[in-house]
Amino acid sequence: MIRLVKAEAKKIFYYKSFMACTILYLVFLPLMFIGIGQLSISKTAISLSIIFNYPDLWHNLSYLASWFNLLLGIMFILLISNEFVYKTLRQNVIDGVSRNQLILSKFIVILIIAFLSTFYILLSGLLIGEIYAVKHSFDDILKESYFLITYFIQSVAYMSLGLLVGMLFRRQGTPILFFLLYTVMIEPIVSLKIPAPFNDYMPMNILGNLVNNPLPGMIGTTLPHLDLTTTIIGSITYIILFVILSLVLVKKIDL
Amino acid sequence: MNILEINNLSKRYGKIQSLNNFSLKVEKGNVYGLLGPNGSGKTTTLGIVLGIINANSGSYKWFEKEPTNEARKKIGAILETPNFYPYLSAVKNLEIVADIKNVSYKNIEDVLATVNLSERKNYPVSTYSLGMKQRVALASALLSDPEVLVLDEPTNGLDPQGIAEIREIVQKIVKKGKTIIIASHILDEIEKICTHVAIIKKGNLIISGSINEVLSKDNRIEIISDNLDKLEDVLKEYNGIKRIIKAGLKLELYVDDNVKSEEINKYLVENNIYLSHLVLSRQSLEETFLELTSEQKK
Repeated sequence: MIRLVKAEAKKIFYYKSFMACTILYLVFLPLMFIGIGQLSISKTAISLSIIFNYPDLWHNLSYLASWFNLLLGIMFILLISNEFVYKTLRQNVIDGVSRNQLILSKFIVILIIAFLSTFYILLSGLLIGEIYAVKHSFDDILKESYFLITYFIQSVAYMSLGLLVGMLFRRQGTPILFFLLYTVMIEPIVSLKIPAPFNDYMPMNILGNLVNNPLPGMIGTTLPHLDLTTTIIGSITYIILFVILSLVLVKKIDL
Repeated sequence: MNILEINNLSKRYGKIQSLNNFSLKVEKGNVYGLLGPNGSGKTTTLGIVLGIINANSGSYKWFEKEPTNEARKKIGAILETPNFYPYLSAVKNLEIVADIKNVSYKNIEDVLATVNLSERKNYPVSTYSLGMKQRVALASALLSDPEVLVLDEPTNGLDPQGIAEIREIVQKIVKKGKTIIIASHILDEIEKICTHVAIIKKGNLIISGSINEVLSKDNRIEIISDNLDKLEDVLKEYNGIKRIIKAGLKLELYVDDNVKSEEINKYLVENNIYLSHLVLSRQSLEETFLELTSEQKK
């Protein structure tokens, strides 16, 4: 299995489009944080850098970064559809990868990418906290750092959905289009038709709730949302569902 | 030992029966040709035994065991077009294959040398010609020093020089005594390298056996009488007739060398059948192949 993951690393590391996306991600994420920190609300002296105070920093940072999880999902779809377009997935199986291993190795890659990206946010957070935060006590830093974990779960979930969508369409372009349409259009529209509280359990809603919009909290209002435990359990259930469906799919299809 | 045993495989794509109760046995050391026109089910057969196509029914065994992905690691295979990560070099692509098959990277240089690709090994595969890609594919099939090689149309789409190169490499491998299963629609290719052949048409196995048996320059006897069905029944009892093919109004008998046409005539007369036509002819391989794969088949 370790060698399979090594093989996956080679596929990714030398893939220019993927690496270009990665560099964009690595550069733009901190730039966005710093840029926001420099902003001040016009004609007032209030700098937006207040959002980078501990312990709110982790929540705000994770929320900003969570927009990039769409990019992670798309990047992962890119990897999957390539394998179908190049017919390399079928060659991998011919060479001796089992279908279980196929999905497992992809899922391990998902975990690694999600971990790296979470770790990157941790580093950026510490750096930004150093620049903008008023209080630096260890307790303040640690408080609410669980948002890093929910962010991690969210990125795993987005990429797992990417895996499933990639397996479903097995070509270039279409899966990315579907992924975007589903996440930003189809589900929000369908959600409107589903009565509360059930719409909270729709995949994108529950995943979004992992790192929810901190703005209502800041101005003192809270929207009725699921509690954290339910959100985490629901999200992990969706991850398992996405992976198992991918596995069922890959066993059924002729490669 | 049986390297590959196929039992009654069937595969249907919608309305098209791509493979119909197909059975085959390949023994160690065989160079087994799978011969048939395009679309006859060769690739479907190989796709199933290589684990990428799910059969509708039937079973197969590799190395006398139920097939697993571990068994596939001991097989070197190319199916249809060579499939690589185009942005990776030949070496990197082969490293991925080595990772999958859990073999050392040490062999990579050797197999690339075997297929004469050492010079360009560090360039991305996307810059290669089709012939070179086909050679990388062959190198990747050889990488784990497998017990059996499966090659599907290895010379398809290549120019004459490319064809010659691939054949030369395959000949080298044959000399090492490896088991090879090779699919082709080119008779000449099969005839030159194979010890055994199976002819397949529209998903049906037409005939299989050693190449001498199947594609020998058989004596062919054409006969006509007024009742072909009865004629055929009676001849089925006769020793030395390998095949009977109904060709329009006549029967064609493919017979051993020691079978004499006058003896057949005498035998038929004894059975109260009188022939209106009897011709003995020798047949070329092409004719046999075309005969076997043409519409008339009994």
